[in-house]
Amino acid sequence: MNNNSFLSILTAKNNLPFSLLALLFVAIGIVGVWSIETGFYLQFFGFTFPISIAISISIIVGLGFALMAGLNTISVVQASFDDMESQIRNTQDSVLTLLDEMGDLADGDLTVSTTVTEDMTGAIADSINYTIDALRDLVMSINSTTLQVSSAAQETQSTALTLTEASTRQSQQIQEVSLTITDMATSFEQVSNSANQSADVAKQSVALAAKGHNAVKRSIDGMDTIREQIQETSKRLKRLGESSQQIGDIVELIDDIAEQTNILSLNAAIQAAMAGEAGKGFAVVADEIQRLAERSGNATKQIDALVKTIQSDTHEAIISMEQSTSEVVSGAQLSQDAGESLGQIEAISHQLEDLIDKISSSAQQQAKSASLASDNMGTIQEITLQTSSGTHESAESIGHLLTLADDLRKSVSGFKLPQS
Amino acid sequence: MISIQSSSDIMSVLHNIVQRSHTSDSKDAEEWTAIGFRIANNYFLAPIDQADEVFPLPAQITPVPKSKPWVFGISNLRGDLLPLFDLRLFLYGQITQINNRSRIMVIKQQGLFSGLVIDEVFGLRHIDQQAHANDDLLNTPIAPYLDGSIMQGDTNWYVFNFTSLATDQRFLDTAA
Repeated sequence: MNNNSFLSILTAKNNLPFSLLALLFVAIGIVGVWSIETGFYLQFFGFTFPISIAISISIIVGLGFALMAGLNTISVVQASFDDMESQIRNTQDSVLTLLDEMGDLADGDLTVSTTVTEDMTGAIADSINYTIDALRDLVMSINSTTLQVSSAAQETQSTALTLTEASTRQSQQIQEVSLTITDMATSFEQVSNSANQSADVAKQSVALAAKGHNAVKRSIDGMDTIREQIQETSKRLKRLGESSQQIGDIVELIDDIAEQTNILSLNAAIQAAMAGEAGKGFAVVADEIQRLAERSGNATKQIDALVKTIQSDTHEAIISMEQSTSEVVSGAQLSQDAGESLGQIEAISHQLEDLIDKISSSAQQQAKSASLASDNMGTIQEITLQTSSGTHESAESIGHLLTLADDLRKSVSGFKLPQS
Repeated sequence: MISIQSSSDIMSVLHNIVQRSHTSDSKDAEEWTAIGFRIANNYFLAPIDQADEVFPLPAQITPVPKSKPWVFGISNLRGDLLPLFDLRLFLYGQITQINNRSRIMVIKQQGLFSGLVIDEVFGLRHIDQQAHANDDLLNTPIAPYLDGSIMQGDTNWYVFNFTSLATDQRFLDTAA
């Protein structure tokens, strides 16, 4: 419209000469008027008639030129109006098209898109398209988000339900554990009692070991006495053996003499036999002497055998006594060992007693700890119940949240989205 | 046999001996006196008139060189040289083990004056029976020197004949 401004129309090429001429003639008329009015004209001329006619003519000519210029301008304005009218009609058409295209959008159809033209509505269509896109993205995002929320809420709900169940189980288990701990406490009490009894037994064993130790000492003393007596007897037996050896020596001497007597009497008998009748009497004597010698020889042999028996018996007795002595010594050693063992048993029983005392006190402490643990378990039980109800409430809230997400999804379900 | 309990017993025994010495004439003529001895495990009797003397082994016995093994050696018997023979080795082929029971029995038979080494001499034995020949003896190597055997108590005595020994050429042949 700026192009069609009045001034510009006037100054347009084809109008410019008419305009200038109109202005010139008007200006001449105005100058004539001004000269009359001021009396300037009268100084030169005495009348005004000619000038008035000149003024009128110039003004009329000026007006004529002005009219000519005006006619041109009017035709230009006329053309402008026509142009405007067609433009308005085009705009109206495009707006109608736009409205037509946007008709489904009102029903929530987000699949529509407006045609972007060169018209004035092109920009609007572009904006609307942009808006539809944004709205579509929004609805899609709401849809997907509600789906996610829904599935997450479902998961959370099931988790919460599982949690509730688990809490219930936990509660049961805690009850069982609590019972077990109570049992344990009872067992610890029993252990403590048993340990006390064991301590008594250990004390008794200490006393018994001490008694045994004394008995072993006495038996060692007795064995020492026995050993001394055996050694003394052994000495006497040795002396007896030596005496019997002396007897044996003497008997050997007697046997020797008897043997010599035997030989002598034998030779005497032989001599007597040689002498014949004269030697008969002597032969008898020699014979008798021989017999006596033989008998004494036999007697010495018996004595020798007896002495040998005595000696071997003595020897055996000495050997058996030596064995007895060594057995007594080893017995004493065994008793010594037994005594040491009993001493060790005594010491160990002492240690055992201490240890059992410690066990008893530990068991008592543990019983206390167990009852404490039982109390704690009660607290845990309460907490678990709270947790259980809390998770139950959470499940309900999540159910609510699920409903809300459903509602949200329903609220955007009116929008139609492109198939994708 | 009278047991000797006291000195009076000894006196009575001696008295008994004196009485018996005077009454020896009335003795049984069958009874004979022998010397009992042992060689190895066999018991022997030799008539008392065949023996000359019995004595323990002398301290000094001189070996005889180049002689038979049973020639035990030579000893000095009161100035007479007495050859000694190991009777056990000669009869049984076993060397006599000398001990304090070993004796030398001197015999004088058929001009042979010799001493026999004997394992043990028991003394006089009075025998009231005659030797009877035993068939078993004939099968042993010592049979030629035996007159038979006599069973007395539990002991079987072989009656040895020194005369037979003294006349045996094998015994006399002492040179190796």
